[in-house]
Amino acid sequence: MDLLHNLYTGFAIALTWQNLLCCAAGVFFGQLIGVLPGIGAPTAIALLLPLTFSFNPTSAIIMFAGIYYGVAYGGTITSVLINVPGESSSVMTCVDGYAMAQKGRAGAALSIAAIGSFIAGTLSIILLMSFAPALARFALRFGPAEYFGLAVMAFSLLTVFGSGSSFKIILSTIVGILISTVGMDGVSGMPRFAFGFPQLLGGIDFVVVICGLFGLAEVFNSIEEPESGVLVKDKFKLSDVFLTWQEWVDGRWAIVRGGIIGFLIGLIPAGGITTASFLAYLAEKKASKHPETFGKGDIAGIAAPESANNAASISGFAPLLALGVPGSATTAVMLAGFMMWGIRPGPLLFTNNPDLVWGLIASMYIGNTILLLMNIFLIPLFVALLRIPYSIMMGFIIIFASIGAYSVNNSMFDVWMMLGFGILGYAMKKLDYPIVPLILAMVLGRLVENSLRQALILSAGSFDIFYSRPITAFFMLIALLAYCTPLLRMVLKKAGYGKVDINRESL
Amino acid sequence: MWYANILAGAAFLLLGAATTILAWLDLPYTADFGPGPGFLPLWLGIGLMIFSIPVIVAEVINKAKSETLVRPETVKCVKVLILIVTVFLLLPVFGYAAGLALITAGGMRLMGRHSWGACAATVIVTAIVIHYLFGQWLGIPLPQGMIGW
Repeated sequence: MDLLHNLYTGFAIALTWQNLLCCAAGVFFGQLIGVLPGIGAPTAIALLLPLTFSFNPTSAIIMFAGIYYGVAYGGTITSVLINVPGESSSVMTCVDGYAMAQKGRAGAALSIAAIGSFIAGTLSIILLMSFAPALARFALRFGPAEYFGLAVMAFSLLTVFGSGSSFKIILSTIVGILISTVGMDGVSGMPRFAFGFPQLLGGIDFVVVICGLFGLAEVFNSIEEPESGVLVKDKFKLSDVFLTWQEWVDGRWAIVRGGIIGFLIGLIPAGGITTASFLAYLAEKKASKHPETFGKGDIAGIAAPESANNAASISGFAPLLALGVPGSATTAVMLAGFMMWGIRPGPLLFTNNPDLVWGLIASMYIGNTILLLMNIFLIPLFVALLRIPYSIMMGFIIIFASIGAYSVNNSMFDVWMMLGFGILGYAMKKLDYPIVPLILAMVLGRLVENSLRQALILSAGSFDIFYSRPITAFFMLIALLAYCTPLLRMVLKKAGYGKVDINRESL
Repeated sequence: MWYANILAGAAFLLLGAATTILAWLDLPYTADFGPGPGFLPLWLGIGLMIFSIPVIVAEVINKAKSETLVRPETVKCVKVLILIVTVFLLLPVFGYAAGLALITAGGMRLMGRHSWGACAATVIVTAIVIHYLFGQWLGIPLPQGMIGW
């Protein structure tokens, strides 16, 4: 009954005209961002974050959540129509989506993705509603040692789910934590790594870093590696988007399976929507009676990854809301937003800010419905947007990033620093150093340091506290296993078990 | 690109060494009731040094697999970077709204083949939008320049 009452309260909040407008705007912008190359969900939220200082926190978070799951779908449009994934989470959709488009069923491919996203998204919201409060109640037992263990586990899982060299992931993580140590020490008040710059005493603002690493660096990367593709069909009619009965029968269980896989992967810190869509595609291919049709335009090959990425983008809110630990770059940026408004996500969020939590959850139902309608009726509009040249869009991304960085402290120092992080991000991407670990580590850096120091104070300096408490020991064990994964992969490979990499680079 | 990767690894190694030295010399390792402000930075520095070594070694071994670092598109990136730096330096002259709007024109000329008229129109519209959207509506105090917004 409590659940229904909370949901009722949530709908009362989400259905106010301001929140409804924010939800619709978020979903629309999310779709748009997913379609446009060179800008992703974390970038969009990072660029918009400083501009929502004057917003009500609930409205802003509803908008950002809309952007997040809107992007998860938006990337599908380019995957199907031009064989270029608008987002990494839509990589798998290219395989069968583009093949269907070449057969003249682009509308049906986009339609199954929209319906799948809606069904799996709704399923994920229902599960999130039941799971997140229980997780929050469990997390009330957490002390500093448990939080430290949780953060270490989240970092370690990046080596399992991330792509590329594990050592580079670890280096990126360490740099992220190091950036978070710049400025006044929270306990002693001693300045660290400020080098005489008064602007650095307050630390390096998260918005400045993400505007550089995501906004500016993405501009450079898009110039260097322009996305190219051939638009399959110029004009879309509304009648193109209706599925045949056989297509629906072929795709329906893929939606359910993809939704469940997506929900579970989204719950894991660092799991991510890309991993979810990849695993859902592989699982669907295994479960199919006709695996040979995958890659040649099988509708289940679109339904499964699209359902999974939408479900994962929603369940990814569970660790953020209940534990205060983001599972992806986008939720990390959102955590920064929560902090900006003076709200600390974690177990107490459900009791201290029920309006925000339940308003957000209720808005997801509304957002998913808007998304479904938008995807059926506005596809021609999004196709038209694909024609905007990057030479024009690039300037606007730079402007947003510059104003975003400036607005944090109204200081040009931050703008120059943003430029520096932009160059760093470009170099990292060019040399295959992942950026997401740096962002996650930077957001969690203070939590890591404070909980580590508090835990050691509680244990009088003894490190026993990290393996004598069951929950902490469990997190540490998972972390240890995760850090050993590259070694395990190497051993398995040498033993002749073939490629066991589960990242998209292994495609 | 192998030498760039080795250089990057070396940069991490140096960053680690510098962090370790700074933390060791400037920041107390312990405080009254536990670890001090230098505790974590010191270990982060050591971690950077330790984990950068395998990266350098791996790049030395994988020399044959390397790609080209500088491609024709890289030159375009450098041009855009120069454009951004120039605009940032000129912001005190043009002001934030008009100055940043120049980036659109620069981008259109560098990356596309747009006419000067289209570029000028874009700059004017963008400057007006920045001024009213960010400066007036969202209330961000954008600095004014000597000759413009």
